[in-house]
Amino acid sequence: MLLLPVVVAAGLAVGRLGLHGHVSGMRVAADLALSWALVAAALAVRVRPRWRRSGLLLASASFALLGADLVWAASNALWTLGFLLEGLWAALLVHIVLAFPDGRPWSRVAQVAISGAYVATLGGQLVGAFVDRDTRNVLGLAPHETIAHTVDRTQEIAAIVVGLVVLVLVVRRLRILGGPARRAQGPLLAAAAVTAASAVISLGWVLATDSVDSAIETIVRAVAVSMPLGVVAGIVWSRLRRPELSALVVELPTRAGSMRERLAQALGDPTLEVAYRLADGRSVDATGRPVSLPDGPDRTVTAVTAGGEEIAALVHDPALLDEPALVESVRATAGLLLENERLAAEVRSQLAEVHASRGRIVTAADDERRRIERDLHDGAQQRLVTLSVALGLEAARADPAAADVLSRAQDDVEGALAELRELARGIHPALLRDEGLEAAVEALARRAPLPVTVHGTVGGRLSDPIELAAFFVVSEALTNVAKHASATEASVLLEREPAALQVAVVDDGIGGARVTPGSGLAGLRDRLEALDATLTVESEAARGTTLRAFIPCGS
Amino acid sequence: MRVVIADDAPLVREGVARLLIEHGVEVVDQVGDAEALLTSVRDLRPDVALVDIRMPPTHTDEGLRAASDIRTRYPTTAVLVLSQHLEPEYALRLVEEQPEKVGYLMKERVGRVEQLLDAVDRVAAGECVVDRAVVEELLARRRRGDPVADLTPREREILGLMAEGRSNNGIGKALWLSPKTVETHIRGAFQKLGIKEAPADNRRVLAVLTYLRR
Repeated sequence: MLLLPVVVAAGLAVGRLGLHGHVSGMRVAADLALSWALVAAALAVRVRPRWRRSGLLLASASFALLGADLVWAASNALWTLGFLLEGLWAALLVHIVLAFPDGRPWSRVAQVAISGAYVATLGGQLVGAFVDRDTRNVLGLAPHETIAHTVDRTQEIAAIVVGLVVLVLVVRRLRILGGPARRAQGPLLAAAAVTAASAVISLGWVLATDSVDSAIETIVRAVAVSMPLGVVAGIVWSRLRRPELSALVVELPTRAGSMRERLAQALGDPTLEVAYRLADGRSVDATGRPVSLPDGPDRTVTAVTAGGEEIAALVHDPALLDEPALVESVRATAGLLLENERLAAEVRSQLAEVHASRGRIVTAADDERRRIERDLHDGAQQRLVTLSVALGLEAARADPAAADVLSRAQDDVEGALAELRELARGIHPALLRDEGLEAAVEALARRAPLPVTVHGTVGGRLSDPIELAAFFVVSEALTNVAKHASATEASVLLEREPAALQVAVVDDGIGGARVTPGSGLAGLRDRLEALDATLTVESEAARGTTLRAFIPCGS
Repeated sequence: MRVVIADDAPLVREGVARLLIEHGVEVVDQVGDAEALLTSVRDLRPDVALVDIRMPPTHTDEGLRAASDIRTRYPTTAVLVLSQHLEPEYALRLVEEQPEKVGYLMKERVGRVEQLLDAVDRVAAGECVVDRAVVEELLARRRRGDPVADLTPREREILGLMAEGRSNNGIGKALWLSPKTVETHIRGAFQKLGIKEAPADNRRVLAVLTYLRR
């Protein structure tokens, strides 16, 4: 608070100097307006603790500007000090914008631009002071016209580059900011964009004409006044929205839309996310999918508790931290609602868990089938073949009567091998694994006791569970057709659609097929549902049966 | 006749070897996987390689792949694949690539020594051998408006023998028919099935198998 009278007094003193030294009244007015506006903004941001560093920068800019005007003083020492400070206020403004609102530069590029601005102004003036030929210059150790001129030009070019970078960064940020951050920071950013543009144009003019026009300098300073005003406007705009937001908070329980949408509206932050804390400590979204809470300066996590237990976390724009009262009221109002949503999310999460475990059970069962098929081959089948070889060896040496007995034993061994082969094929079809779905379905069609035609293609191999599910659809359907349908023929359709594999088996039989609990079709449906697939049965009496499955398979 | 046996089950491998040796076949090597088989064939150049379809490491179709390698790299060695798969897809994969000096025999045939020896002799002589059970699997298929059903029993029998890779002479011997009669039946069968010209013996196997698989 002490700042205000100090700056006002300092301003008046400097202003008097200027008028005394025949500086244009407009210019003096512009400088005073800018410095006082900066201090006013520095005082205004005190309502936002997170913006403290921006406040310090605003105040510094104000003093830097008045300091630069010391060149209007009669003293050589003061003139030199003013000369050194000439552009510092502008560098401070760059710093304020590119580190707004909490004083941390937005990005690496912003950091570089800020440093560039300081080097171009303060650094440039320091170098310039050694070579400047002005008679009032007490630091002029090696006055040199050409070098001084070059330093000036370099400063101007650097300033144009920094100005353009600021312009690009500010415009980009304006486009991505939303919600409360946009309200709080938008006015300053807009003002900064205009100021940076006018500064670039005026510097360009200076560079092109190689002459300093004090009228242009005055205009740029006048435009820059919009920046501190923008800071204040942002604070005021956020405040103005508060009653509206409070009304939304009160209406939270009755408003339409998802909890997330309602909270986003009530807090004015469309990027808001809600993470529900489950009993086992995991965080999930409303659909029950696990989410991880972010950590980093771009997002802030606010915990919501009920009965001393954390039930949810709001993930939101850090700008909301500037509205602690609002966030607090949302927290209080939303507690019960969030608790309900959390229970729903918990149920959904458990459902997803059950779904996943069903998938794992099917996969485990398939692995087991594969293992059994392998064991049959390596064990029983191998032994029978060995036995067959032994019988063959004996038969070659035996007398005719014994050879006859051995030959019948050989028949039995071959019968056993054939049965074993059928068994293994039913457990896990090797052809499906080795040659893919189309070949395996062809084999099923070939072995059916009625004519079966196969249409369509699947375009290459699919994942094991999908191929196996599709295979079992065809296998189960053809088994049913053969047993119950009294059909004269059937056809199988395989069709690869963008997101799913369609498998259909159509017969011309008596119809009347249904999915009854415990039936093969019920088991098939369970298997398919584990893959998010659907199974439909169209089977009107006397109009044949169509069994159709859609198995999602990504792309 | 020099033979190499490849099978990952030592008991089967040794049994088959004894069986062959007792019938005057020279078994020059016994190996347990496809890699060893290729080395053995490279070094020993046997007349016939007797190969189990399912071998380490994946226990799926190593035998078929080894067969294809051997036939391309060592054309003098014939390959007889022993398989437990009745599905004609496997046999066709073997025959489609090169229907000469290859054979696909069901594994249980090893106990019927005369059938095993017959197959070994035939592939060594350059023929193409397909197990009759596999052919039967194809012939048994029900088709709509099935031309195979229009064949006389004799024509069907001869079609099956052709699919097994028998030459006209072989068919004649098996059925006690003169070569001329065999030819007449073949022409009749091909006409009914709509197969245009009867290709040479080994190519004929592929044509018939492909036709039946439709």
